[in-house]
Amino acid sequence: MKVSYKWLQSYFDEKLPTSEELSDRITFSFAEIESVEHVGNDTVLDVKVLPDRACYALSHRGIAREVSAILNVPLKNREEKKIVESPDVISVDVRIDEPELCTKFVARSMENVKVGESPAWLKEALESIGQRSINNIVDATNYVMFDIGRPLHAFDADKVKGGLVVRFARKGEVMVTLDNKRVELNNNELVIADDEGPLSLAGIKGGKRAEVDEATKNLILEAANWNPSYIRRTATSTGIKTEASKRFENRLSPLLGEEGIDRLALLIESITGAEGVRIGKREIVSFEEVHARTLEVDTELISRKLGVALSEPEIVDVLRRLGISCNKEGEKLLAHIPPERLDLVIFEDIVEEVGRIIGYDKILAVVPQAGGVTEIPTSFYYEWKIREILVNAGFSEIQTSSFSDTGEIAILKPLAEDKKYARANLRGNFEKALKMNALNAPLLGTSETRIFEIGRIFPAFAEASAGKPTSGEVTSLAIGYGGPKKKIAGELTGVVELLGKELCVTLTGEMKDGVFECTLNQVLDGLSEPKKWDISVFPSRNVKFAPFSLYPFIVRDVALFVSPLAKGVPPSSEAGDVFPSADSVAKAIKENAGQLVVRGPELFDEFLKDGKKSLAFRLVFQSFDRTLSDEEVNASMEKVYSALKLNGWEVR
Amino acid sequence: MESKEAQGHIHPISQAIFDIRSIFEELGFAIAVGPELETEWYNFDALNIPNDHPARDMQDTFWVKTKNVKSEIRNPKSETNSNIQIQKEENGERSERPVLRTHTSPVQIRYVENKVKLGIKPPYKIVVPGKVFRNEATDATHEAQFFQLEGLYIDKNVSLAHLKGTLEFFLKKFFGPEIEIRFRPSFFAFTEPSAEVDMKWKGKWLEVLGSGLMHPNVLRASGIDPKEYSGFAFGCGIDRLVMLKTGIPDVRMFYNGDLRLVNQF
Repeated sequence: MKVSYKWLQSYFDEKLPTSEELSDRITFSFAEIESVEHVGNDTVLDVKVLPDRACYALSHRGIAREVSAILNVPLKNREEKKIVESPDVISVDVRIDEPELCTKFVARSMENVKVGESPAWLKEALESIGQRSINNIVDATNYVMFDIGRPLHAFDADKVKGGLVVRFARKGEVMVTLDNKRVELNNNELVIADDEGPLSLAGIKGGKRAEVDEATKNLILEAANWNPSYIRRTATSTGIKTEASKRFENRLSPLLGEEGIDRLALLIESITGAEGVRIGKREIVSFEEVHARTLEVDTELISRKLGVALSEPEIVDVLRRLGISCNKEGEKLLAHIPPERLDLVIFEDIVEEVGRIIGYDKILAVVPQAGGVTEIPTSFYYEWKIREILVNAGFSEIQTSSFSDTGEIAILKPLAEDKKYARANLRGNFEKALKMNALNAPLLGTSETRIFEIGRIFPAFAEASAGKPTSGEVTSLAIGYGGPKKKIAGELTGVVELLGKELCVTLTGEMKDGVFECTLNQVLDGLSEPKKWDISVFPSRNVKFAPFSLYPFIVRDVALFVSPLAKGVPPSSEAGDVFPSADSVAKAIKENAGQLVVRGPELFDEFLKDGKKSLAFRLVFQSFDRTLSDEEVNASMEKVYSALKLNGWEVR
Repeated sequence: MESKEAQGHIHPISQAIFDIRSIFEELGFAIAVGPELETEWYNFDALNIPNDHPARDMQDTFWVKTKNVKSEIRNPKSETNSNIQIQKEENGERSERPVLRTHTSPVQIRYVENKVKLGIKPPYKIVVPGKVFRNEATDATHEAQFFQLEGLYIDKNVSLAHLKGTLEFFLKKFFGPEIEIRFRPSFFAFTEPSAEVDMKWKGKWLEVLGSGLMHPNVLRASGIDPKEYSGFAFGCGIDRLVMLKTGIPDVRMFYNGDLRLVNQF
């Protein structure tokens, strides 16, 4: 809800604090402020009104009442002009066919209005909150909506044929909306229609046919109340979501209908040049009764729920600030709920009102007493046992997407083509990850890849039990090995056997393409309940993440012969010669290989031949900002070769 | 244990869950788990989020196709009462419409329901780590899947002060003793009062958690008399906690199976 600071100020005699301070106060007692923006000589606060408070706070008046409570500053007494109805203005004929969905309909005619530009103050007010000025009549309806939160509509009375009917649309009926969208109606949508057909999509959007334009002289003003669920569903199904539908789907007090239509008539009268303008009688068709609502306030329980000791007078004062008056009935304290506060229904709602206005910062932190049985679900425990065993065996845990391009459980509105299903196995995404990691093995400083994943899969809906479909969700384990082909089967069989031995179970699954996968539910169900938590894993090796490049890397090996340092002196062992250390050679390589080395030099081979020692090192080159070329890496390697030669070492 | 070098690596999210479990164990919180493919009843209705209620907009939902369950095409005049789900429940009808759970909160209901069935009375103290799903466009801070941590404490006279104490205890253990926390008003259909929790860390206030006292309707839906007991509940994104702590810049990195991430931890 965009709130104009100037508009808000008009509700107060006292000068409001700066927009920054006001934002802060609103944030900690009412709602999040999404942005503060300076627009012309005004400031606009975007207040994130959440669904519970939408019934009253999607309006400047609602926000002003909040600000009044938060700052403990009274609202200005606004003098309301009395409406003067002319008895001879034609009355509006209304018929409601669907009283369950249209619970109230308030209407009146106005004659002799003059459509034109809006006065500057009105234009500015609407433009400050991002609304385009259209003409004085439309602007007036919008103004009243943003002021008191009550959506309204004005029809050109001369374009309406016969009376107004609220009914379901007929199949095949078409309506063009004010913004020129053609809506083909079924018989699911409620419309306000005249003898010729739909005039507006009820509670959502006005239609073109009875649009107010420059030639309009006479109006029918409408303020109806619609069933919130109906509005929400229809706004969704037609894809038309408007400021009006947003307010209706959150419910509105029926009492706002009369007030809205009166304010609108008076505003139109005052801005269209009062000469000759005549206001007709207010027609009300209502199927809902409004009862005064009270809630019993247990002040002691409020203190207990908040964990802050508050006296009855303190609580009564907080409620007074919110416009909620209290009185005693015997021992009972009763709070009288203002009609627009449809969010205040149960005692706990009052607890929140008191808590936020006194300030959540007053709540002390109390750590609950420890103790009690801390049971561990069997599945959770054994999943961790498996992690422990596999990590000890050198396997690393990965996670992949729960969505897949194939499967049994289809997503209704998938995010992407390759995410159309909930995965029916781990294998699909896991195999891709195994390939990627195997390709990256040099970068990770290994020649073999060992990974696993534990996650839920969704093979299909299981057989219905007791007539109800149950999810076929199960937990699955995938283990993958990437390395020399001839080792794959042995590695995987070995680790599966190890798991079986440690858990005292037999794991049967599918072994294919370097991946073993099996479901765990049945296996784990048979295991004994864990008595205590005895899982141990090494703590994280690093606290901070180190960014890695997403560009391809290039691997280069360098092999060289080194001669003994000095023949026979000193004879370190019976083997005889002393050679320069691998570390010293690595250092020379490192110093000359340049900045693009992301891994290495790592010694991967070492042997003696003809009194010389052969050393082989691996280097991995990669850039953070580009794909490296062979030439670039060759140049680095040339430098390495020269440096090695200068040391008298023989590059092979 | 083998030497550290020969060891594999635990995924950073799992590592966080490991740490979180042990932190909460100190306060006597047990672990609970539940299904990822939920029913509409547990994911929404029982949590006081009825069908056609604007509160459902707060979570973009992955519904799944099914042949067995009635489709979602409805008569416009039926089910217009927002209390319809509660009424249905009273008639023994619970919506079985399947949904990838949008939060770990359904486990609150499942856990308590089960305890009540077994005749075990509160106190109940659990944390629920688990994967959840949101149908929203993905970017560095949004992923269609992520992990959530749910916390629940039901007893006689559980207050917001207990909630604050528990969360402060947890976050200090997880991030370090220097952090501060504060509450802001918020709305969740399943808690009343509700509070958003910010944490001050390295000089900045960060939104980390949603929380509140359990709504009486939720207590009732799981079989607990709200006159006798009260409870708090909270939920937070584990991915976000890990990202804050480690500086991992993109939530999607957790789920592409990349050892260049995992091997760092």
